[in-house]
Amino acid sequence: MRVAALTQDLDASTRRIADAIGCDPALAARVLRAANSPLFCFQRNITALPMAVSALGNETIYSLVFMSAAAEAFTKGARTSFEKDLWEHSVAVGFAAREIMLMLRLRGLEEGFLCGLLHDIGKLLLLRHDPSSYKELLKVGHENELLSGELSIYGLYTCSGRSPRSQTLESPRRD
Amino acid sequence: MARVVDVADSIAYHAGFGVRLAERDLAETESVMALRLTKEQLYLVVDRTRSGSGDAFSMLS
Repeated sequence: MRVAALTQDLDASTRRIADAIGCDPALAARVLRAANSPLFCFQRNITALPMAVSALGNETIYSLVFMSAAAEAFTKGARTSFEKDLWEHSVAVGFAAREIMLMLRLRGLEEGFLCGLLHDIGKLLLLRHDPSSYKELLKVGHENELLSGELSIYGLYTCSGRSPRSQTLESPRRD
Repeated sequence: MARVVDVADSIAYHAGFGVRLAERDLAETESVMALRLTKEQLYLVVDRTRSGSGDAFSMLS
């Protein structure tokens, strides 16, 4: 979180941010992997953290801190293939959100990736809190039924921006 | 942002990264209409998500 704070500090130098990243080996590895990832299409091979920080920019580093934390949450102690599928789904949603924003020329690509990546974090929490019941609930075919089930069993639902009520009243889906 | 994530969620299912059985018709959702995305644009993002998510998996694993 120190890294995230530094990326928001206009006075923080690239070296200072790189040094803070270097204190967390897992984050450092992810930042270097990101800098050399085809997702960002940099021309040269980036081998040092200050170069990576400079190439990726503060906004991307800020997102990577949270992505790194999300990766830990989803993959550390993942017990079932469903949890692995949920992680892959979340990464794909993050990637698709970024692509949509790029296509529509919207600002905040990294924020889009992050929102997509975290949109199902509530499902992971419910799955770990109450594995057997929630797994059964996930078998329902329709998203609306899932949300209503979550609401009746847990008193909350795990969607972002959608609610069973708004879906029912405003935009009934085709079956 | 909620609209973008809603569409991205459907796209992930269509790209083969789903976690449940049934999903919506990709081009017929309220969010797709609100964002004014065409069918061609949607399927382009599906293709890119299918091919590009592997890079994202390796970056984050």
